[in-house]
Amino acid sequence: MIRIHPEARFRIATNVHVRRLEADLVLLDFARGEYYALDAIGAELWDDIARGASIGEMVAALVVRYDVPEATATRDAAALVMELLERSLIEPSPHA
Amino acid sequence: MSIVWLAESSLSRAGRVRVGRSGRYYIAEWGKIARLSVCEDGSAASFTPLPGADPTLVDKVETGVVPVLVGTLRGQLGLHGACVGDGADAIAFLGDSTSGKSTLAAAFGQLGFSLLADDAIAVKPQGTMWQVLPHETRHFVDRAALLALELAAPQQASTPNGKASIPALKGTPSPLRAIISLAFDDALTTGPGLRPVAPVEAMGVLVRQAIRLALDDARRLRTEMDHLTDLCTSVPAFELRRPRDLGRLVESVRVVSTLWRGR
Repeated sequence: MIRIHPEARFRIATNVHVRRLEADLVLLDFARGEYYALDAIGAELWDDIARGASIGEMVAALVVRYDVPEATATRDAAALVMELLERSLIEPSPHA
Repeated sequence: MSIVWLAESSLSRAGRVRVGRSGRYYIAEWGKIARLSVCEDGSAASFTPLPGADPTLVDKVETGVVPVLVGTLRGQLGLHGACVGDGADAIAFLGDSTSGKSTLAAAFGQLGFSLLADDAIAVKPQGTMWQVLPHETRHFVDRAALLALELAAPQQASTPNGKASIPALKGTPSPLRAIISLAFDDALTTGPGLRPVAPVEAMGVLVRQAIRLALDDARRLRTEMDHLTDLCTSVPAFELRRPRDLGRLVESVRVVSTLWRGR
């Protein structure tokens, strides 16, 4: 089980270029020349990260948007954040 | 000045392909065939066949991918694929090596379509459209495809990988109206199927088939992404799944022709 503090906040890494394709997002890590895609739910979480939402706020928003249990929303949000961190697409925010 | 190699691929039919930088110059090298050196602004391009290289392969590289690579340094977008036109509009076939791009393009050549690209497609934005810039004048197809197309084998030597070069109608710059991603599906029990793909899926295809030299230039990579996203939202994209059997090539041509007539 991945655990990230609910107050943790992140920011988009400076090496990332983002374009929206309908509800999806395409991300380019131009430091590595690698592309990634996020589906509609991932794109909403990305937008939450970009506006400085905490993990707790992201989870609360997921629960409301998709009517899912908090445990499910926590697991999904944490999994995406961990993957984005591992790929250096986001980084911990100094204002957390 | 030494070369810093940026990327290497062994997937090409031309053998190992690698791209590097030496000072202000990009270097591309195709196995034992040839080397390209070009300044990062697209000027001073120099193409050098390597000693003993097969002349047909040298010609294929020089007239195919080289002008497209150089064009990417001058604001064009390069895509691995074949492209044909009907004199007004162009249709691009994208796919991995051996996915049948050239064979399908040659089949359309027999229907009177002109050739804009056999191996590498150069496109550039023009207003709200994407213009294909023709640069190749020969199809490269293997012997089995020649038979399926009922074309006589040409007299001149084929390439070491068994492909023969056949002349094509020369194309003119044309707006790109459809992108078709090619895939074989031997499990198909019905005929070939053509389905529209969402922009994000089209983006996946375009990214995989993008041809680039400036791998270490963040500004160019960002511009390329902007071009690719614009291309896949402004040009309809489809996936053509079809059996590998060349005896059924005509069915694929029919499916694409129907789409083309209805555009």
